[in-house]
Amino acid sequence: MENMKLLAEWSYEPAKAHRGYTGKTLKINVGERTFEAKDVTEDMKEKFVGGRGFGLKLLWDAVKDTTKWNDPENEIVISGGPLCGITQYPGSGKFYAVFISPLTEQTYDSNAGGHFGPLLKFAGWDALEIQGKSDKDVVVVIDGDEGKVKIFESPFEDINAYSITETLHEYFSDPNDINDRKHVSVITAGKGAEHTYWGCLNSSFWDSHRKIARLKQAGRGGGGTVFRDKKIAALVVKSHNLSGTANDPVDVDTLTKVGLKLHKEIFTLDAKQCRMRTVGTPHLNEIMNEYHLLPTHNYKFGQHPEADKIHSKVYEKLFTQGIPDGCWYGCTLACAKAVDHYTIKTGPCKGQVVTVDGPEYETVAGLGSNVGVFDPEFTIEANFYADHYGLDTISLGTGIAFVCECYELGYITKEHTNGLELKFGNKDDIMELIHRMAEGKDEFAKIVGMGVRRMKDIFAEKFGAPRDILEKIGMEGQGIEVSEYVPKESIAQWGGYFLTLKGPQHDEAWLIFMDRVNKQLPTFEDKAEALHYFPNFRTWFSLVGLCKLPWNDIEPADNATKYPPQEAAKVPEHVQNYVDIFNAVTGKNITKEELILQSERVYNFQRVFQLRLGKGTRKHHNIPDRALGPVFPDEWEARAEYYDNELKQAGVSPEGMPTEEKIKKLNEIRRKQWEELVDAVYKRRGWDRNGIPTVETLKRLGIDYPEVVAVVEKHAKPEDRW
Amino acid sequence: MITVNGETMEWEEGLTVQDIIERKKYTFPLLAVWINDSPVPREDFSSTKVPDGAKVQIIHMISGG
Repeated sequence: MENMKLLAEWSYEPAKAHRGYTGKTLKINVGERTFEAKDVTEDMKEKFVGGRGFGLKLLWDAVKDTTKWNDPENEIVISGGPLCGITQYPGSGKFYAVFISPLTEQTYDSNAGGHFGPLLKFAGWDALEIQGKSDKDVVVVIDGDEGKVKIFESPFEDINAYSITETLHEYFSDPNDINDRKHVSVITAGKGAEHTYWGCLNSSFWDSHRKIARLKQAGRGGGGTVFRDKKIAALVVKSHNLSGTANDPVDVDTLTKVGLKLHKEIFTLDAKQCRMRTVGTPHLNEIMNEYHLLPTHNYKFGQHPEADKIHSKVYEKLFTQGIPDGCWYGCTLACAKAVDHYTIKTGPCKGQVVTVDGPEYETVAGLGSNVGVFDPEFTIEANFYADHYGLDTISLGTGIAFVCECYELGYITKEHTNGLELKFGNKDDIMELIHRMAEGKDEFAKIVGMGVRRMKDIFAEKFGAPRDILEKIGMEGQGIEVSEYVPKESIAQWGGYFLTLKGPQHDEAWLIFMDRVNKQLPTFEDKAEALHYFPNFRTWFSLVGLCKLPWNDIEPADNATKYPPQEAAKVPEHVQNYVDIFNAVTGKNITKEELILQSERVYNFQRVFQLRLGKGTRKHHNIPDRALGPVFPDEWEARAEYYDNELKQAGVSPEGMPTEEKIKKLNEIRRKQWEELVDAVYKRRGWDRNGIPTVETLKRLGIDYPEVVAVVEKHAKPEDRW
Repeated sequence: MITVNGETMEWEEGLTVQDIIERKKYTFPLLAVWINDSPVPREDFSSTKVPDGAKVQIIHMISGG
């Protein structure tokens, strides 16, 4: 690669991490080409902890109430958190990206593995704010070895992820030592991120076994779209400050002891439990199908007779075995599976032999069953191109599934699609649509890339499709697409998806088994309690820089017998591990109750932030009919006995009732249940009837900053109090 | 008659925990079972007989995502 033209440069003294924090954050304005170091205050650590908490705090300070996703003051804030970068405990390399989303027009947070989060900290920074809009494509480099931040003019004509990531690893490392590339990590997006609202952020890590750069994704919310709107081609971080104690924990012995305990569990139990080490999250493929939770044909059905073709055993054979597939050092759960030596069949990379990261379960479902394709090779290729183009595989899958259903209903035709026959299962034309979207090739491809919410508007207004049906079958909440689990049979999961801070993503609560199968949440109050505890518990991972998977995709051998059922679901020993490693790194002395409190502060702060941006009230917690139950007779008939029984349990006799009438009746019942759920959840969370945190809640949590209280007071109405 | 997660189910002589799991098509690997509020170790699912009238809880440990 030719030398890159330097546009701006800034020097700094890299701060060493101490007890998990460097105490410094970096702000880069790529438009003005300015740089600024800020101190991390004790209050910031106390109230926001790190990671997503820092991201929200810094973004709050950077934007106005009126800021839109493509305004220069919108930022992408990247932060790992105090545990990010430890190597003793599995799953400790996550960063969280926070930004105003083009899809939801409010704050979004999305996380990725790879080495970027840890290397950013070891280069001296607890968080990185990127603001401004460049007038030309740039490569931003944070060099923790030299103590320099540089902005280069991008030399790349093709900015797609696989075209530039490895080149940048090579360019910024010792040319005589291929292993030196592990000291570099690169964030990229791609053309798809530029031409759609579904842009993801790819975060790289050097795979020293395969000798290639691999990619993990902060997939959701359109962070990659913001990245490309700022004309950033790549963001590079470099640091040789890599060791097991680079985070400078206060108590290495405890950290090591707790980590070893989990490593031992993983080595002895994973093969009998979730098989994360051999197949990763696709262990869920057949399980979701068997429990009617595998989204099929735009969430119409939860099962399909061809699901055996995407069974985890099929993927186990496709994934290369025997390579430790952790995406950060010390992760023995090693679920970052990959398909090696795959020959690309379509598009600009046709004929190339590549390694494909994943697919994960949600990609198998989204770019598989949900679009009616049961061919792993299609899913693998679509996964490759989604990463390459910088597209979120989940929104892409759910979005295309919506398009396919509209096509089959006759709402859109080949005239609209420029010749593509977008029926479920028509994999060639679906793949072609993905290529067209990445290129921004035609009007239809651009419309699809704006997401389900905007497609509903355009299909109704421009194409004459019936608005009421589109609203029923468009699987989005708050503007973002549902993340590949069928929610319609679990009232608690309606909340797990649609009473969230940012829309239906499964990182708040996955309660389907607890609710529907185990029957552990019989009342609305029980469901509300689960929708308080689990979202807050899971938020904590995002504050400290951890991956969720080692929490409950592996469990101690006696977890199921040692604790009563309700407690066992929390995996109490692992919760204690988190308390112990947090204290061992930071020197603090939190309890498991304070862990929840740490999350609750940030959770409520983010809720007020959404309110500040004009969202964050009850009307924005929308849920489509298909998330509540069947919409069309064939959905009902596929499980007629089950749905008839649902009516009977609600005191309605289905005998002699036409199916359309049954659907209408069940929808009425479930809409009423939804409203009851919303009330119960808002109450439990300390919010008013309109979903706004009360001032009392802010005070209890210690986040009653004047500017936060002012937002609540501006919007809260006395009649909405309980 | 027994109850499994609150729903009634026919009982027969010799019925084991594993039989119930198979009849219910519970294929999730992280199952925890209690019979009349007493836990049953996973390795004993096939050998543990369920008495008539028992309250059986078969808990799928939360997962996904």
